[in-house]
Amino acid sequence: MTGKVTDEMLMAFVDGETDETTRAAIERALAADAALAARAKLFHGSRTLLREAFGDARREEVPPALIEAVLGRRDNVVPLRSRIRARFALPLAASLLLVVGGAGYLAGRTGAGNDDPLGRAAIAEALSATRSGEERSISLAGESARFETLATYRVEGGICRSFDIGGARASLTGIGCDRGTGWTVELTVERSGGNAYAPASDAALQSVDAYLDALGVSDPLTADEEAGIQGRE
Amino acid sequence: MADFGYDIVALLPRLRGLARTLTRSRDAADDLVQAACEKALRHRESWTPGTRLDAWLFRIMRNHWVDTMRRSRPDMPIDDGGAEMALPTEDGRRVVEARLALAEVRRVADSLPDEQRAVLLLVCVEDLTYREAAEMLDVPIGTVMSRLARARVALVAAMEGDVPARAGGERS
Repeated sequence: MTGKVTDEMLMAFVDGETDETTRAAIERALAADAALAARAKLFHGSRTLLREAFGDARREEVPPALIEAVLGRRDNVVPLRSRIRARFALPLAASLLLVVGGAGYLAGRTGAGNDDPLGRAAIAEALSATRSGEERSISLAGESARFETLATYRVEGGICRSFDIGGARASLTGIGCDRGTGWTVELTVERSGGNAYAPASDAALQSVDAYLDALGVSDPLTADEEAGIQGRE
Repeated sequence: MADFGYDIVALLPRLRGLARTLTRSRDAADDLVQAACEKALRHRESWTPGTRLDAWLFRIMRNHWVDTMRRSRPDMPIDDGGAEMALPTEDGRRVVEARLALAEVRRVADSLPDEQRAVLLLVCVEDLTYREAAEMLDVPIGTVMSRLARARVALVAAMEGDVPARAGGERS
């Protein structure tokens, strides 16, 4: 290669956007020119800085209002807030409830009082205490329900677990995560009413799958991998 | 079709990140995401299945941003001129690397012209390729590269100017 290595060429090299020929030529130029190498490092460093300064959006919880705005458009879904209150009074068979939880729901609350109608605190506690495939009994809205952790996934900054809850009046499936600050319920989807052993509806499973996809998870952890993570905590 | 809403919900974390490449506040970004999602749901038939839903939604967000929200803001200078940037010094680079003054990075990035800031964040934070960023912003790939290079040089240069030398003690 003859001529000057421009900023754009250098940047494309650092970003892995150059073809083989250009890459080799720039590598030779960098080896021969310390100032150029220092400038390449600047381009690399700027990406790192920006990622740290701005890269938190995907780790944050999505505001419930946004979810509501999207799903609220569906004819068969009524606004989220009223659904939470009316949850146990609704004819549930064909209904689908999607709630993305806020950590605020969990703070300082245990059990299933009126402030926590979905029993987020109880679910969070169960998530922390079970591994994939393990069941326990939890109290939801004053009633006993069967809780099972289905699978555990590694995500950026922590781990997430999919879970299933079968109660006398309704069944839920969902996702909870511990991203370094304790377990929070991030997604719950009502999958059927009244039968703890009913198969999860397609829509409920798809919601969970879509959420896992959005988190960028791959396969669930094996029991050994999960034990390894648990052991380090 | 019933799944469309869930597909969008699954993309919300990503869309919020993408929206922040356009806006300078989180609230404005969420407003933008919401407006775009509502528009997308009204016009869902214009999305071609098999193409990237996030890219489609980003284009809706961007158009909406240009059409409405940005109108209420003072004009930002559009800098596509060829002003030559001074070379940041080796000493400054070490300071930048040693001190991850992240709030300062955000302030500097937010002070860039819209066009530079968007491409900067799309590539460096949202990990889009140059080509993807060009398609999303509807500009030639060469424009993406020139804006991106200029923005990154400006970022590092501004960080140096603002970060006190180590021995210099507290920032005022």
